[in-house]
Amino acid sequence: MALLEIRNLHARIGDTEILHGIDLTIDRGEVHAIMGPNGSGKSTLSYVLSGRDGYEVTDGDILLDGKSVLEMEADERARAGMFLAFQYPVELPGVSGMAFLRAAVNARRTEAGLDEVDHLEFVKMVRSEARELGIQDDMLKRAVNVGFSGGEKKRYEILQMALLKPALAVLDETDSGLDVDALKIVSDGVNSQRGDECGMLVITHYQRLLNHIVPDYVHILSAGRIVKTGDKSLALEIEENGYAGINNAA
Amino acid sequence: MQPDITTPSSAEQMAMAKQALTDAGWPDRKNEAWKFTPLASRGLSELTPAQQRDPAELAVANGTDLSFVNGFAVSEMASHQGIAVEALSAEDDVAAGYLARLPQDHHLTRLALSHVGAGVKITVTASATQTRPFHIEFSGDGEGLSAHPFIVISVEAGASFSLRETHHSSLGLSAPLILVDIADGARLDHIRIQNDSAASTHLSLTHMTVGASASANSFSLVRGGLLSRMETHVDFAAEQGDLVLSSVYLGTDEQHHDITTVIGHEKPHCTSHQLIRGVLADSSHGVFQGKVRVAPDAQKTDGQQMSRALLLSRDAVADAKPELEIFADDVVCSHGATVGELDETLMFYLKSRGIPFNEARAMLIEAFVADAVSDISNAELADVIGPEIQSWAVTHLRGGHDG
Repeated sequence: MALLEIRNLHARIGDTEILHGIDLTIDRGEVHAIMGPNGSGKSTLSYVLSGRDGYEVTDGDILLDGKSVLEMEADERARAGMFLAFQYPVELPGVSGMAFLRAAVNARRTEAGLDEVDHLEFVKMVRSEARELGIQDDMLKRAVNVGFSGGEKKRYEILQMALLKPALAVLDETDSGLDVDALKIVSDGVNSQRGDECGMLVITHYQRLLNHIVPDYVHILSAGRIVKTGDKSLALEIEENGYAGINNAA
Repeated sequence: MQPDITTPSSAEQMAMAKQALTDAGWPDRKNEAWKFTPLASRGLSELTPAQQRDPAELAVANGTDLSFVNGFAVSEMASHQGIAVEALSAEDDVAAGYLARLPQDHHLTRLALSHVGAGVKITVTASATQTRPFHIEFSGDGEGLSAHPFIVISVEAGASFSLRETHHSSLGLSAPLILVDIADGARLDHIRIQNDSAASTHLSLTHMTVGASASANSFSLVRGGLLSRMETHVDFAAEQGDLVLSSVYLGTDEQHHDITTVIGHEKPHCTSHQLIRGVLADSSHGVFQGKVRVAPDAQKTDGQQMSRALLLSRDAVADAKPELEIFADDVVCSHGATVGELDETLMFYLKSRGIPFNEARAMLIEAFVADAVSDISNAELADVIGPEIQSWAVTHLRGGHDG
């Protein structure tokens, strides 16, 4: 059974339909990239998948492990194994980073019928994952994302992914706002999560991220539809010719 | 401060107040100071003042230094070195001096003076040493009864006092009157928790006088009762006084919480800083009225006031009435009041991590009130407030999904 199956997905915000029938299947262990110009519906797709309020599915279905998630709230989807790395992670003044990470991990563990994680054990686990991502201890002590640079916020997203071990990770423009060094650290973090158990959907505008997170499949999203699918060479083609050529071909 | 010869005796003040209370009755909406919190139709005049009970029948909670039951002190334990606790009659000259400081032509003053009787005076000397905060507990029961505890606190020059005040009465009305004198160079750290039973009314009147280079750090948490008004008046009696006066109120169901403050900057070079945070669920109603008066010669006054209310329901209402009356020209004063809802973007971020709706909401609410709580400078007192807010969130927000 596929990990994620998107069938003829139509979605709108208010009265405006943004997604006009998307079909996409991701199996465990696969990394799919979605590329597309601004306004093609990339971020909308990430929000519809993760169940954000205000994004209404008007037709089609989203199946995770064969089960429709359309009736599930965002938090239920997350506990079922979905993860969204935000393009713009929000700041949560007054919310302790450690308390936040612990609440997230415990929510997922409780769902899986596991005991809540031991406090000391958890601190050790977070520190060890954080070190891999070059996240300093003092960042962990701050409120969530407060005072973090753009690059630090992205690393913190990947830290959450590493702790939550999702079945399906959706990375929304994870490369935006990153310099070359930060891009490498974040990509290494993502790559370390690759494996037979996890599927990934990497949403990006530019090809450069895909030099670091090499996808198995590349899909081109244009005006709310997938207009072309190929392997990683399709991304290079986009880099060469831009999206205009693809649109014409479609 | 001793009463001067112009101070009317307590008996005179009380007689005048009783007459005024009878004449004016309970305030309604037409009374400007009470337009958001009218009392006229609350049935308060049907209540009977509680009588003193036999102390032998009453158990005093552990860790409490002073306990009031139905408005009467039942234990006076001198458990802190350098702190004297003694009975005080409203008829005493000392009491009269304090009572004369209360705001004139004021409903809560009339109410207080009409019922003031046996009270307690706490004197904190400069040699006082506390290993933990002094804890005063207010309890009582009787839905047809009103209680009128009376406390005078004198923090003497150079002394330091940390005080914890806990209210959990099941009375028709609790109307504590607390008068505090913080002498030159003295310091008060104070928290107050009002967690009365669901049907009760709480009308408190607190007056503080802040001396030269004295400071007061006072925080109130309001979560109990059906209707509450916590009114605090602070007067700066000399220069270089410093006041931090913060509050958090938490409302559910039909609760009505009113925080009213009146700060009198009569002297130059004093600072007052007020942060108020309100969280209102269901059909609850929150009110903040904050008056800051800066007298003509109170130059270099720094008076800041900010209130924010968070509405969790379409039926919840928040009213704010900040008032600055500034008669000096070289001052820094500001006020602000906002009313908002939980930020959907923040909620989505938490939910996208698997954190359930109610827990995510509780986390954001705790964060919302956190800066007012962080105004508490005494760590031991701050440690009492955190769990109180969490327990409120657990009881009222983590229970079920109603969003």
